[in-house]
Parts: sequence; structure tokens; C-alpha cells
Amino acid sequence: MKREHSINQRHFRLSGVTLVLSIFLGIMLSLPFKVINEKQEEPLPSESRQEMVNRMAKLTDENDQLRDELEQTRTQVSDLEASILAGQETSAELSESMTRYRILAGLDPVKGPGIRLTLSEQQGEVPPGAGVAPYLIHQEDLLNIVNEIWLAGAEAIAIRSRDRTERLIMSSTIRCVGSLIDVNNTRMTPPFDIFAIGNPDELESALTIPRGVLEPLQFFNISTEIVKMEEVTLPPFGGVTHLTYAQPVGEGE
Amino acid sequence: MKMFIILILVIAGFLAGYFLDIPVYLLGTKYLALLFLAIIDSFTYGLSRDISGQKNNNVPVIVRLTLGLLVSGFIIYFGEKSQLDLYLIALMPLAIGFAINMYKFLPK
Repeated sequence: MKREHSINQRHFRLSGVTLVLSIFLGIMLSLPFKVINEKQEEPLPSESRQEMVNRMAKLTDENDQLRDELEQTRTQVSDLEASILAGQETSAELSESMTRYRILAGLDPVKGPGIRLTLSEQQGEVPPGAGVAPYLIHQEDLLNIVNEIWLAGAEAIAIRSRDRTERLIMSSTIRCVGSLIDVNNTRMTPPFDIFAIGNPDELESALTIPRGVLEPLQFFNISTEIVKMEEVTLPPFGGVTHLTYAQPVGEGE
Repeated sequence: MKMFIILILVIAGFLAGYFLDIPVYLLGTKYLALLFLAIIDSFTYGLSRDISGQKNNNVPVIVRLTLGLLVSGFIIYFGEKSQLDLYLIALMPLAIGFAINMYKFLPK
């Protein structure tokens, strides 16, 4: 056989592309060794995981303590403001506007009529062969719902997951962190309760409108339950807001 | 002698890849596996053509490499976007190509 003879021949000419590819092959072969070497330099996974869990628990405790302190300090500030305003002639008007701005800023707890929307993933209902991602609640879903509720005239919104409730304010963030959803830097997992204060009928109709924000979720077996409530009580925003660069604009500027 | 040149170049590539800071994590693991298989398939294809005495090997090998990367890469990308598990199917032609090339090196 001519081909068999030629493939075993000792004298052949190497093409340029083979030479170049041999270098690339070497580079590709080095990558697993490089990754293994880098992994060995890191601390053992079990140790690092345990350390991280301990650190996370400690930081969560510290965070809870600081939240309590912040809440106490805010109460003191509110009391002081009230006592200062009590001695002024325009106190009632000032007090009212200050209360309104504090509610708008999410600094005070607030109550009023509204709705509770419960979102929960239905376990074990993913059809065989289908990807699981559409059957999970993502940050986009929460953002779309929150946008829709604001648009429907909600005056205050909060999201609850298990024992944590986060009030949404102008600087609130909702984003995916791995398999969790981070609301105001608090890790949350489904089911979610979204509380909104506003006209319950308008809020409900905004959410249940055909082709609205809830329809795609229901299509993927995500349970959505809306309950109209005569009184919803929302906690204040638990974080800290900074104002470093933004300055008020004076009259005539 | 010429096989030694190949060996030296592979080692040179290995050292370069090991000591240079190549940002491999920019690619996902699926695309990294695709790149590895496409390169090893094209390399063995080119080498088998060289050894069997065929000339002007640059163009066929480059075409094989480019087509392998494009077609398999598109299948993987499409699978990811449509959430279909097409990853193994995309890599199969390259793996089969590599196996066929290796078969050519076997003593007859």
C-alpha cells in the first residue's frame, strides 16, 4: 500500500501550520498544570469554607447589632427633631413635611392599605429535558414587579424573605449573587413577599393585567399570590445612605 | 529528527503557557475544551498529512481548524442560549477527527 508506506517514511517535510499548532498544543497542555498548581497554593477548600462560614456568621451578627444601634439612633434623632419643632411657630407644617420626607426617604416605618404579593418557586415541576433556569425567580423578575408597582402608584415597597424584610428606597439594589438574590445587600431566597402601600385595587390590577409582569412567571410554574390588605406595616430602610457629592441647588442658580 | 523539533516546540509552548500570564479564565470551560480539541485535532491532522508526504498542508489544516472552531463554537453557543445540552454533540466531531488522525499513526 502506497499510503502505508508513505506514512511510515522517515524523511518528510513539516509544514508551517503544524509547527505553529505544536506550540499552541504545548500551551493548551500547560493550562491544567497551571490551574492545579494555583489550586495547591490556595488554602484547603474545607478549611477555607469553614473559615468563611464562621466569618460570615460573625459579620451577620455584627450587622444585626449595628442595625439595632442605627434604629435606636434614628429614633433619638426623630425625638430630638420633634422636641425642637415643638418650640417653633411653624412646627406643625415643618413637622408634617419632615415626616413626609422621612417616609419618602424610607427612614421611618410606615403603614397603610396595600397588597402582599407572594412569589414562590414550585419544586419538582420542571419538565424532563427542560432547563431549570426559567423556573427560578431571578433579579429581573423582582425588578420588573417592583417597577410595575411603583408605576401603579405605590408609596412604599418592601421585600421579605424568611425573617428579613428590606424596605426599598431610591438607592436600593436588587441583584443576583450566585443562586441568591441580594436586596439592599441582604441575601434573600425564595419565597419572596413583596409588600406595597398604595391603592390595593390599582396595585392588583397593575400586576394582573394580561401580558403583565406576572404572566411569564406563571407560565413557568412560579406561584404568584396577591392579597389585598387593609393595613400593611413596613419597617424603615435598614442601611445607611451617603450624600457626599450631591449638593442642594440654591435659588437663582 | 523532525519529530524532535515537534517535541521541542510542544515543550516550548508548554513552558510559555505555564510561565506567561495567559488569561484562560476569560473563556468558559466549554470553549476551552473546544479550543483544546480543535487544536489537537488540527495538529494531528497536519502531522499525519506531513508524514504521508502530502504537500501544501497549511490551507487544509487552517480550514479544518477554523471550521471546527466556528461550527462547534456556534453549536455550543446556540445550546447555551436555547438551554439545550448540545455541548458533547458539538465536541464529538473533533474528538472523532482526532481519533481518526491517531489511527493513521498506527503501524500497519
